Amino acid sequence: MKRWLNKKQNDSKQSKENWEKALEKSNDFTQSTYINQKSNVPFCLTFMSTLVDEQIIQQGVLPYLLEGELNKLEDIKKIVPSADVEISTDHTVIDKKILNGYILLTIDTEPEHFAFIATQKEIVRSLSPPEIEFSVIGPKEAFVESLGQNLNLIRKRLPVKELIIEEYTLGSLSQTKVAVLYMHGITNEENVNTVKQRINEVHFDAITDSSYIVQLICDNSNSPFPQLLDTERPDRVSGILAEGKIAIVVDGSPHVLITPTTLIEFFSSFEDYFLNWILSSFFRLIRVGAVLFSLLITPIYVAVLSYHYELIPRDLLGTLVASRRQIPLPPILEALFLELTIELLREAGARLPTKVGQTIGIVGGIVIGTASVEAGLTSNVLLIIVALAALASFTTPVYKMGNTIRLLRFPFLLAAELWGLLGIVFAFCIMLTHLIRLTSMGRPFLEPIYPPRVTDLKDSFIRLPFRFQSKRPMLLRTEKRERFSKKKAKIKKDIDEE
Amino acid sequence: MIYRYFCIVVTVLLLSSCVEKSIIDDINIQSAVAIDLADDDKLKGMILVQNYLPDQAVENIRFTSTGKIRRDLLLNIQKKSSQQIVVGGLMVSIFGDKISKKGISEAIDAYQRDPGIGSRNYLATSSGSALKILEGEYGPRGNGTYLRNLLEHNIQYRDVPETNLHIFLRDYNSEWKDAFLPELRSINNEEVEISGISLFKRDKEIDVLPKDKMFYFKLLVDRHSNGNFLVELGENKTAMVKSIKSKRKIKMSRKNHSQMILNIHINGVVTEYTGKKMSKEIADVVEKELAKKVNAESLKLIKQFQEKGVDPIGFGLVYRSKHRGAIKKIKNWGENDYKNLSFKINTKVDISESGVIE
Amino acid sequence: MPGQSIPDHLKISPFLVLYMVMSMQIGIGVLGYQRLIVLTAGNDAWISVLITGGCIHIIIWMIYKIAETVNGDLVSAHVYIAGNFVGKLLSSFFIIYYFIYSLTVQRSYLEVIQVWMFPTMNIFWFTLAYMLLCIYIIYGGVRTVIGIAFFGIVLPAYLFPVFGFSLQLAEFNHLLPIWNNSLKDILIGSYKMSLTFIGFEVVLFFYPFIKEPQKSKKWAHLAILLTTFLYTSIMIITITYFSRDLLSRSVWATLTMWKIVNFPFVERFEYIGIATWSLVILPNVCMSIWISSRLLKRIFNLQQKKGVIIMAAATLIAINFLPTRAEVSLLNDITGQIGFVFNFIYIPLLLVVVMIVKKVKKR
Repeated sequence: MKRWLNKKQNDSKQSKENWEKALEKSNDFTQSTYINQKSNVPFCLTFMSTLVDEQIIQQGVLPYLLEGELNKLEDIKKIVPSADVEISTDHTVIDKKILNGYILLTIDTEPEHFAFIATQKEIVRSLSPPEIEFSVIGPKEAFVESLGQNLNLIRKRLPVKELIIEEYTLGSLSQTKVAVLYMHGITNEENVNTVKQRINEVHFDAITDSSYIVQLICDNSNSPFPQLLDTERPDRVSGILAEGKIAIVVDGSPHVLITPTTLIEFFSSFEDYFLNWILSSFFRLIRVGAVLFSLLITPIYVAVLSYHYELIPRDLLGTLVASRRQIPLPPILEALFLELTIELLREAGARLPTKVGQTIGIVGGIVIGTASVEAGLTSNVLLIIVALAALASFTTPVYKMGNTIRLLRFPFLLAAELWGLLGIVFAFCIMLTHLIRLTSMGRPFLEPIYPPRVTDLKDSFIRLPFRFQSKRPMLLRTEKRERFSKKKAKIKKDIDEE
Repeated sequence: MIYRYFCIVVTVLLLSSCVEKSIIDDINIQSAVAIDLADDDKLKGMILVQNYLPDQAVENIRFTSTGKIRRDLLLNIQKKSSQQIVVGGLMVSIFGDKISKKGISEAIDAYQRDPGIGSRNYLATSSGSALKILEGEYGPRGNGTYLRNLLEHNIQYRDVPETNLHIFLRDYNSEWKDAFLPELRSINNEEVEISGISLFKRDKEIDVLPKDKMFYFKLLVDRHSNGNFLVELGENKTAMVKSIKSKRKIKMSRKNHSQMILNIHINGVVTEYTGKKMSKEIADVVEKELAKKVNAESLKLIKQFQEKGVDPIGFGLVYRSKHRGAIKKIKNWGENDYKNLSFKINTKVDISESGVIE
Repeated sequence: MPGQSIPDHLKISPFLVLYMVMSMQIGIGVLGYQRLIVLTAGNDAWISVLITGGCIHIIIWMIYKIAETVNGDLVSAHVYIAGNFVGKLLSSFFIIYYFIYSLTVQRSYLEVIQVWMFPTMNIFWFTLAYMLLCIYIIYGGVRTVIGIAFFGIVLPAYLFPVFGFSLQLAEFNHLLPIWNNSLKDILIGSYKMSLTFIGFEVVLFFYPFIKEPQKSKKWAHLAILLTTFLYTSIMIITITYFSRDLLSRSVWATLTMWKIVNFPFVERFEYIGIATWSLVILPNVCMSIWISSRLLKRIFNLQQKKGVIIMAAATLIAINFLPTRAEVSLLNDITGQIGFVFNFIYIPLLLVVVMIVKKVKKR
């Protein structure tokens, strides 16, 4: 019996030494012993100096510990004015707690008990206006890298008890905190369960950003299309949560994920909701048109110039032939050359500091463009087309979608080179099939186009006024379909009446 | 898996590149064709290719050759061209007077068979050699474009009745209507004009309408038309009437099946008047004079057609649409009924305005 | 019955039957059906179209009656009347029918491409690409197949207003006098028209996949109504646009009519039309391959994934044995005749037998 006890004690010592040994190797490991002034009880503080806020220790913890009535470990709950004080007997959590920025407090008299006091250093970037999804009208807040801060931004906008936040820790090394947000009683339970299940199934060592989660939980990871919408706008997240979707907030990432989503949603900017419905519908249609234009115009150029000269209006024929007279390359190489040049410019601009990037853009756009036309490498007609197509691809409000569209141009180009217009239609069919097959959290990605749901068209290519938006999208199968009572909202007035 | 296979297939396809290309600057696009008969009854043809120069100027390149049939001719021409000659950009085709008198059925076959030739092409005949028309230099935009624009605006706004490849083929392939084509004449090396309308019976040119009859012809042929017309009012007064909107309707008389009733309604404006003052009364006179003249001239034209046995206006179609089983009577129609037909023309003219002065 | 219980989330909404039926009906035939009908029925060809359209409403009613009685597809109906072995034997004939059907559509479209666009188009490579696309679609399940059918109707719909250009040159005298041809001629025209109309019988195969099939009835009838309207209007436009002799020479009258279309930005529209048409025939090919592979599964218990690949491979091989137009038109005739017999003779017969068996079984 005694041996057994001894052994157990040894065990605990052993393991205590284990975590100590492991942590001691780091230079920021700090361990110091103090003596309480009232009861003369010596106590020991262990922490990682890089993770804790020295100010909190010096002002909010140490003075109380030194001057308070500390006889046993239980006393610190009374004397330390911090909400997050925990006493535990489980020594396996010690390293985790220390590495999360807690102070470990031990008293020699109670070797089996450990107290943890929260003193995390919170490095929070101050709120800045959204950079990617900037809007002229509307709130100027964007998410930052801190989970707590981000949740605060969302909660502030939805201060109701229905908003549920569930936290998970993912990543065997990164220990990233991930929060799943949804509205209880509105969001479809099935959707929530799918998301939870997918998140629980994530097995990856280091999750450093929400884009990791996107790729790890999406339905089809072989698709070039993003299947989860990411946004840096708290207003968008709260608006979409109210619609009945699910948000995923990842610690350390200023982008919040929204799911399930549809293709059309990627072409709607949240500013659309701030503008009058006529304006926003017009802009949305323009955006969808721009995407199609961007996707198809260069392939059409290649197809028409390589195969279908008959299609060219006779008055344009002269311009096209004359502009291509000096060019030694066939249309496909000409187009690929220019498209790749634009991609290079974009890539260089993205990698360089902002100011240099701008310069590169100007140098590339003007100098290279003009020079290549003058050198007879490309025709000026194509230069205009490619530049317009690139411009159009930047109109998509979601950056990831813009990337997809730029990528998709290349298979379309090859198809056009292969079979002309027929090839373009063929490539379009492949894309269409892919989109039909694609799902986002098990919900069809192409909704409301296919499966066709007329009621959901109210907020797709166009955005009808809010009074028509009384029902939540059918796609989400929400538990409460009505957003507001249409009858109450309806006011009928005759002419000259109040 | 399917992605991988698909990638392989695309690569193979790209490598084998199995479709024939026609890159726009590596082909010679025919813009106009002239076909005529050589002295030895062979076909003689000229193909006009517009060469677009980098400074936006257009150069006319001509290829001439002879051959037994059209294809033969084209083959011979291909041998002279540094680049492949393609047919898809054709705008105007001209048949010389020799071949149109002899019959253009052989030459027209390619236009029916080849899907590469657009239906909006213009066909025309020429007075004199067809090749001579393409030999001129008309305007800076190339001969093909020039001739097309010439025909196009005359059809749209002036006196040439609506015609294109489809309309010609439709009438040419119809037993109940005869085809017609505009006739071109080269004045000198820099000028070309529309000199009249060639009337065809099946594939042979039977008659040519002179320029000044074209307005009436257009009134009769087109359901809607516009054009210019000069009305002489005596005492050296003349008025130029521009018809804005004209309609014509052909009906078969209910009582008498050998009578056709033509209702012509002209809406016009006076664009020029040589008298002192234009008044409502004068407008009435102009209306009456014009109606009278249209009636007389149209009747004259129709009688002329009847004599020659051609039916470019399509009385046959009206006849057929009123006779059940007319299909069996086609011979009878061509030989007897058409010649015995009598006509009644009712013209109504409305002058709606007379310009900004009175 | 095996393979009959289909989970609800894999089924399609009843109104999608509209697109399913329409896109199966509208196929390669539309590009040139007018000539055959006009050759017999003359300027009354449009009456023939209307008559056939009317008849098909009856056939659709019969199809639903059969499917409702046996609560399943054609195989179920056959098994219902003739027992397991004979029923499946009867059904296996339709594997060949739908194989030939997809082959005909595919090859006829290639014929169009070869004549109008690319004379040197390689049949094998194009078919290979097309078949891979079909496999990709069918692997997505019924929802994807019907999705393609939906887009195969909605996206090419812009082609319809384009016929307005032909109306500008229309000669309405061509239509008169009505009833110029004998009833016999018009009925022969109707018979020939049925070849263009076939395809609606897919309901008999997709029936188990329709959510609340009762509700889909009206959509199937609406589909027939719309195709009848489409075919009739195109027929009327064609008759007015062509003179009769020219029409009797035009193999692809619809395509010829597109030649007159011209926009400021497109000189020749028919090339765009032909390219778009590949989206119209895609559901034709997909659905028929889906049906034949589904039949393989129902009859021989062959995994549908394998069945699709077998059918695609067979198409790919068989299409090489049809090099010239003579063979293509022969194939077209054969398919049309089988289709006619199946739709207008076999289905009514089947209904009668099913009804008799039902009564006998009740006793």
